[in-house]
Amino acid sequence: MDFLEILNEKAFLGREFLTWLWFKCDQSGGRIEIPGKKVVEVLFLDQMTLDLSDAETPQTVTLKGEYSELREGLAALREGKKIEEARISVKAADNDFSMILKGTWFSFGSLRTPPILPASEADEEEPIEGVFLEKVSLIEESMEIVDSLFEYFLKLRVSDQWETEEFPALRRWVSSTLG
Amino acid sequence: MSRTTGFEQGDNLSKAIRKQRLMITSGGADIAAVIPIEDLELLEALENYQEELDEIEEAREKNDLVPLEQLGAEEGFGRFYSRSVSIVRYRVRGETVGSFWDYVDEGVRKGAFREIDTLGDEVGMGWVALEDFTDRDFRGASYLRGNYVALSLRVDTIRVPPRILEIQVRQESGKILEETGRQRLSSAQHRELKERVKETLKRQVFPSIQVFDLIWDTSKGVAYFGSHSVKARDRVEGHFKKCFGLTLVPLIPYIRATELLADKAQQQVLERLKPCSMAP
Repeated sequence: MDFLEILNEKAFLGREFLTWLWFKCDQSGGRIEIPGKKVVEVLFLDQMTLDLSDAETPQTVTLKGEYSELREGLAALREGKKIEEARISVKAADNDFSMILKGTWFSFGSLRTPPILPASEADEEEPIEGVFLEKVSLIEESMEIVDSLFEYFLKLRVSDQWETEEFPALRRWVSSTLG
Repeated sequence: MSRTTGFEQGDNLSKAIRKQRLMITSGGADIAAVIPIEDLELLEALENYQEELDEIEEAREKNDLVPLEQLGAEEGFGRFYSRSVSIVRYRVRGETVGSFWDYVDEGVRKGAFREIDTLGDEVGMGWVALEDFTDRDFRGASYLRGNYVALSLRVDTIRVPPRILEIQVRQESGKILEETGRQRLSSAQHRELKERVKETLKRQVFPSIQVFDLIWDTSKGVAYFGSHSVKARDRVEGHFKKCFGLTLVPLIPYIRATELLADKAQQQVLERLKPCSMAP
């Protein structure tokens, strides 16, 4: 399969991940325990775009506002839409990150890392390299957190547990808020 | 508006249409129109305008409009060091030859920023220092930081304002018509004139300088690129390939998934995975 085929045919994977992540967050109050690894705190912030992937003409809904207003996205989920991008914050150890995570490209928009120290305070001898390495390591930390969540999702998604437990629970969550 | 069923007006035709539009009818229905040259020029200008609108619409559909935060890229907003960055992850694929660091150095030098003197909007492109987009020789700071190669891709483009171009083309074509005593230029001549005028005007317009950061982690074989723009991504993918002979493969979910799932059985399930409907 060439790249464009993968991009088109497997785009659902990123969207399902984001949708599942929202479900997981909503269920656990934002504390996601990755078995045998760590606890990641995830929050869905003020922006979300949902997309109907299989439609002939693209149908998207963008929601902005407080978390309570994002819950209107549940109505879009019931119409069969999935999350294409969302502004989230993640935290695994001490550092807080926020980003707009995109489903199709698995890319990071408006990624905010904790501030870094000015060059003079960070490293006297190699100021540029010191600041650079600090910023890179923060960026990589945020990506590792997202990767660990994605890996958690993937292992569930390809396991039998997906069909027997996780997916039914997700569907119950989507329909339970009817009314 | 006059109507005619053919060319019965003969020699009077050119006089008749000089000042007004002439409809050609057949069986009582209008089938074509002969219009004064000014109207045709107006029509062509409108077509150009429409083309631009189409381009914008196309960019909107492809999600390739430059977001506001990136418009400030020239001043350093939306870049690697700023509080808020956009990042596309790439897997770096391919083989290098000989000593790795010599190979990289050669690629960086080969692809360093240089002016381009050909037709088109692009007037310069290539690697510059991350901290200084005017430094193409990396005199200020090395691009090499630990295992990372830190570069910025600088892209200089010139966009002649379309209406300015239109005015100049009209003036020039007016002059030519006057000199030659002809009625109008052929479309090939018009195109050639437009290209020529554009090249002249390019020298009078300041380029727009865009800078996109690329951080290549050589130990992990991954690269971070500082823009989501389709055009910028195309440029960096092409330039990277040209300089280093290596391919940047976007780490989209499925490709990242094949890396994260080490187990063969899991990978096989992943391959066959179909989307699931979450709607009740």
